[in-house]
Amino acid sequence: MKKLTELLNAFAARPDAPGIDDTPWKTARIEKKLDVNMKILEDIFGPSGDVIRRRFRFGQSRKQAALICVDGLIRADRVAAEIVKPLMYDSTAEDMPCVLPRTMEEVQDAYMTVGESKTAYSFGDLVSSVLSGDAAVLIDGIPGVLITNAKGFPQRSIEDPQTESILRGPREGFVENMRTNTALLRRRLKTPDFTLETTTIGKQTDTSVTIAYLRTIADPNLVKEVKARLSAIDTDGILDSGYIEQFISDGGSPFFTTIASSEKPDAVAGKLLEGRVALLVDGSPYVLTVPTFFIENFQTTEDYYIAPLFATALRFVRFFAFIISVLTLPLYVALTTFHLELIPTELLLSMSAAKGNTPFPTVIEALLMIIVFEILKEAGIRLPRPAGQAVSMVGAIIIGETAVSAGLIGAPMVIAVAITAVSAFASPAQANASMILRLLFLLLSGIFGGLGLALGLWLLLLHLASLKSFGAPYLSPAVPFHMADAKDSLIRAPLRWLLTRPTDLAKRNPRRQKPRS
Amino acid sequence: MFTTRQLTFGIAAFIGGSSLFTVFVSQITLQDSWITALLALAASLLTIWMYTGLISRFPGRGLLEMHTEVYGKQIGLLLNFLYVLFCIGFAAVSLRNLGDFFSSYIMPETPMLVVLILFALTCALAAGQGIGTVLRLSFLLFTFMFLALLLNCFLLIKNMELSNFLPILRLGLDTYAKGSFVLTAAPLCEIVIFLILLPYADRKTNVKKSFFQGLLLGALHLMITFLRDIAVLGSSLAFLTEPTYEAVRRIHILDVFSRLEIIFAFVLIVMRVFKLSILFCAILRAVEDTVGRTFQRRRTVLIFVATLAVIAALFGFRTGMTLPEWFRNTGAYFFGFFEIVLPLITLIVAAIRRLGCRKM
Repeated sequence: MKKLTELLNAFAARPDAPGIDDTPWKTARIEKKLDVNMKILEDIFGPSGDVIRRRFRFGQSRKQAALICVDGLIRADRVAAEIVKPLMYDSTAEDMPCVLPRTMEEVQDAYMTVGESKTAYSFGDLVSSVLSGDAAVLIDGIPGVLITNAKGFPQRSIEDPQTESILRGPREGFVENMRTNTALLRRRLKTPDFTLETTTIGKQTDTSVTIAYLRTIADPNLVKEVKARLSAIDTDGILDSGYIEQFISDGGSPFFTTIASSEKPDAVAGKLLEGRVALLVDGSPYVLTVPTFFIENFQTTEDYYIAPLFATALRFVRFFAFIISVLTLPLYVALTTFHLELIPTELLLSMSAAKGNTPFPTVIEALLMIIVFEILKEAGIRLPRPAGQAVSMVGAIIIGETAVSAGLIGAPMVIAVAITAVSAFASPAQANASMILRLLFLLLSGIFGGLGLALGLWLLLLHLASLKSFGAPYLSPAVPFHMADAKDSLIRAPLRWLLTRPTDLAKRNPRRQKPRS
Repeated sequence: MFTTRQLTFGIAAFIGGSSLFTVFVSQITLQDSWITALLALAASLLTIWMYTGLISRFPGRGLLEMHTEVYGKQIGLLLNFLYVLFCIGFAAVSLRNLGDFFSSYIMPETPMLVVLILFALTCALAAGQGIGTVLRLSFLLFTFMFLALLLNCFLLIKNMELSNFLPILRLGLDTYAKGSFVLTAAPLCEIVIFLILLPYADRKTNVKKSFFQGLLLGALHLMITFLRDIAVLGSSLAFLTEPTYEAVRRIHILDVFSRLEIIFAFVLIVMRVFKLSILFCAILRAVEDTVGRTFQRRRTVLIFVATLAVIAALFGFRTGMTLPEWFRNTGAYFFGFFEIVLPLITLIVAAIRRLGCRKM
């Protein structure tokens, strides 16, 4: 016997041992006898204290029945009023048929007042429903299980999204509950075209993932591709949409994410209207949209709510902020180290006066400064708010003032770093990318000067041009260039000029509105 | 894979990528260089017309694949080998030219070897991404380059003198002939490189149209460059080694717009790198056609080719000053042989042997 257990253990430890999806009870059918079923459930759930297994008697027949649900995931009052009460008392009422129900469908039709209920026959369905917040009822003598939606668990209320603050426009943000999120989208897209298809991913977490798209606009091949990539995921846990993002992305770029995420329902609805596909992951307030273009990093929903001129100006500001945040320091280093003759004489004089006799070469100064800046930024994010202020004080006074007056670092360098930092915050979508690129370009320009910088930029451009997001070119509509899409790129033309959807997205249904006659 | 538009602007940018180095011609035909450019354009159009004959005979084939078909295996192999050498030589000349420009204007203290290695490595890496990716950027780059050119022409209006075009047509006939031949050989007909890359064309690509339109766009760019240089520099063209750079250098408006040359140089260098990247793609394809198989480790081959090009560029020329002279007297004839004579012979042999599609 001992030998057998050892053998079994060794088998279970093998890498190709069956996982949880191969456990035999998943497909096992639910028996007629309640006691047998309860015994099996006992084995499945083990000693977990939050799984409620309450027995009661079913109506006139006085048959044994059992309610199974997870405490905390259900609303106890609804379970009592809408499930237990009808089964216990209403079934004894005089006008009820005296015929005993033989199947779960009959029970459901006769007694259930709740809208969302269904029947199932396998333990797999029972267990996954109960664990996701449904209440299950088993009745002695009737095969199968009655599953009723009585979900009610703590969730955050809908708030102003923190990462995408706006001045004008709706202030709702997605929450962690997927159903709330789909409702937020449905309220904006009141059309039967708006399709929501849900699958579950993750062997242990069993996370619901919903694919949302507009049936008549989104490219069917795109939807198929998204589904194919989702079904290829074979992992034990999905805890945030970030997991999905990494699993399904085209890859190919260590710098840029080719899948956008947003906390704002109006942003996602707008992208769906352009022919994109959205992915909502239960437990994550960030909704993914594919395909993603590089240009989207510089667009916000607000651009469409304000006058075109201002929107265009703001987009240019964001775009140049990104470029400045990446290139200011490398350019400064290249100019002061290699190409002094290119700086106008007066500027050069005042710069060298301000720089004084600092001990380090410019590139080392720049490296030191951006490392310190990144540390300060990270500290500011992670620390509790009161302590965060202390950090910014230290940063401002010690780094800004003292380092310069002590002659460690030149004043122009502090200015360059400050410009970099402020610009980096103006285009937050690719903040991580700009950090890494800045470092790379800094090294290139520190070693090879403007030449290194130029060649690095060329390679970066090529790299961007080679990227694809779900088959669509990442640099669209600039590369390949589409005149029609240029109206909504860095420029935001008046809404009534935007006649077509993006060329690389909605080939099937390109017309957005008729030209005004 | 590339489309019609990508090919068109790719060809245009390929030609425009040489506009930093118009010295090959401007030193001999001086203020009449624009006439030379017109003559060279006419000659190039004829050459392109000859290319289209080849293209319609062998649709979807590259130049080197045509060789094997037209001449048979042995001679085809020999010719293909010669073309590989020509391409590497071409890359070496381009690299050296760029290297000279860098050491004399931008980074005088940096050893040329470093500059050359950096350029060659970048282009090899770029070519490793494939011709499709490189050409995808052609429209963007050409637009930028062209806008930059128009902008600096505008900023230079103050410095332009119409009298700089005089005297007109005073040089000997042979000078014009030589000048236009040099200009035809480089950069206009350098687009023979794209014949090698034809197998990568998208099925729907209208190659012939691309060649003509691309040539015209590129020639337009060159023409504007010549006109601007002549109008700004006049007779000093004779002794300037980088007329384009010198011209842009003269931009000086109210102390605000000055020292802009580095920005334009930057644009032109990126264009030259673009050109070299395409060239490296072509070398890779040429080598593949010659040995008759595709490589799994393309990057290794490319880096090997880049090394060869760097070595040739570094030791092939004694000083930067000798390169234009060498090109005018020797290089152009080599280029012309591979760009005009050989394709023409191929076309004639193919016509005599009645190979390929009959219909022209």
